[in-house]
Order: sequence, then structure tokens, then C-alpha cells
Amino acid sequence: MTALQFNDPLAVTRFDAVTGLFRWMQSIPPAERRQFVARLLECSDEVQQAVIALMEVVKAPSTTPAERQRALMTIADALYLNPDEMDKEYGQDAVRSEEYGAENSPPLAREAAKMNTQEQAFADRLRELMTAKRISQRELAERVGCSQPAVSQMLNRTCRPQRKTILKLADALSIAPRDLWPDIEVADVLDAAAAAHADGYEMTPAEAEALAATATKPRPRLRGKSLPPRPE
Amino acid sequence: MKLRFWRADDSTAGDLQCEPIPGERMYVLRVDDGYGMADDGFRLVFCDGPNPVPDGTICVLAVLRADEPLTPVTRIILRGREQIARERLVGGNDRPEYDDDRATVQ
Repeated sequence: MTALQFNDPLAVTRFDAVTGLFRWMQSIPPAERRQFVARLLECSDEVQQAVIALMEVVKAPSTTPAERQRALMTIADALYLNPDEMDKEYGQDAVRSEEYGAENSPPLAREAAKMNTQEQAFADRLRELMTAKRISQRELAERVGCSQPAVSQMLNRTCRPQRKTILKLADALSIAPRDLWPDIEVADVLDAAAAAHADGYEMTPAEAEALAATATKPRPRLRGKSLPPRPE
Repeated sequence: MKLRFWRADDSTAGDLQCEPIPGERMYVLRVDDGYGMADDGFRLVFCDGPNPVPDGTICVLAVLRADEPLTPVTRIILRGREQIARERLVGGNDRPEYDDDRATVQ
């Protein structure tokens, strides 16, 4: 049997951490404490160390409520206390998550269908414009300030562009943003409405109408290089 | 948002800028749109997965506001999540079978 060396700083740190952990566990119901220990013991040494470090975060008076919440959620993940509702596996596939939401919620299904249609229309329109203006993926990428693979991925629908990128693409192709992505004004209206709500200010119907009317006029907010005139 | 086709030496994932977190095995993707929730946008913190994935899928560990500092506490939380992800997403991620009754506290 190996004696615990208390002149070893690492051993002392671990002993303090485990002591603190058990002290905390005294404050939770016995059944949960037992489950907690059982699951902790199943974890690898590395995950156990991570859990102990996270417990220190939870206990520290200087930890903010948001940090404490995140730490507790991570501990729950480590100890399999956050069962995934979809497939009982650790983590979630983001694409699968969107599909799952659409399968289980009619409003989300409508939004997903709309997004799918608009994304396809965007990819088709972008390809059409690039062909008409005789611009390569690499040239467009340079004008927009992104990588050529990013343009390729947008065309093949493996990358859904940010609104900022749509505005830059529209500017580079000398077209209105809504010609690339029809609902882009809706995003502007939602952003403005959310900002007004955050400020505690409620828009009047007239203001909302005026805002919506303004949003229908595309206003590129990001500057980019325009393409040269198409050669005759 | 679709996040695939990323490689460790890429400076972008799709049209999102990517950079490593110094001293960590984690990376940050910058989402400039705040969607009305964050003025400066968001940061997606991810690790390069437990092993190379053919389609370059990344494992997102956290979504932080762009103006949220990466404090020492946040780093501890992220390291914990990274450790769990790297370990659990290898070779199937089902929870191992176990019996709650077998564990005892001495």
C-alpha cells in the first residue's frame, strides 16, 4: 500500500479537492449522493479530475451565476445526468437537431421548409449570376473576403451564409440583397424589433409599419468592390 | 447554420472566421450576426473532435457572446467539456451499461 505523501503539492491539492467534494455532497440528498458517486467512479481519471475542477468552480464564491450554471450542466454531462431526448447519445448533431425540431413542431417545420426553399433559391441564383457575369469562385471569394471553398460550399448548400456574407455577395455582384436571399429584410425587421424590445420600448403600429416599409428597401451596409462591367 | 468541412489548419469554416485559443486544443468561430440577441455577435468554441471526421464535422462546446471574456473559470468549464467530448465521442458514444446498485460508498 502506498502512503499518501502530504509533502507532495499535487497530492495535497487533490486531497483538498476530494474533501471539498465530499463536504458538498453532504448537502445533497443521500440517494442523489449515491448516484453521483457511482457515476463519478465510472468515469476515467481525466473526467474525474475535470469534474473535481468544476466542483471547485461551483463552490467558489466569486463564480457568477451563469458560470455556476454552465459548470453544473457540464458536471451533469460528465455523469450522464443530461439524457439526450433524441437518441440517448452524448451531444447533439446540429443538422439532426434542426430536422428533429421540424419533425416535432409544425411552426418549426414551416420555418425549416421556408429556409430550405430559400437556401436552394440562393444557391441557384448565385450560380446563375456567377455564370452571367463570368466570375469564378476564386474571384468572387476575393471580392467578398472569404475563401474559395466557402463559395463552393454555398453553391453546394453545405454552408448557409451569414447575412453579412449575403450583403457582401450582393454588393460584389451589383444586385440587391433580396435578389439573393428574399427574406433578408425580415431579418432586419426582427433585429430592430428585438433591439426595441431590449430597450423596454414598445413600437407603435405606425412605427412598426414605417420600419417594415424601410426594411423593404435594400440598403447594403457593408462596402465591397463592385465587379467591372461585363465585357461585350 | 451548417458547420462542416473544417480542417485544423483552416482559418475559416464556411464563411465564419476561425482562430485557435492560445494554450488550448480548442478553436473559436466568430458569428458576426447577433440575431437581435447579441450586438457584437457570438463565438462558437469547438474542439477538433475526438478523431478526424471524414466530413470535417466539428464539436461545438459552447456558444458565447462575442463581448463575453474568456475568463479562467470559463476555460476550466471548456476544458471539462472538451475532455468529455474527446472521451465520449470515440468509438460510439452510448453510455456504458452499469448497475446503480453495485456501487457502494465505504
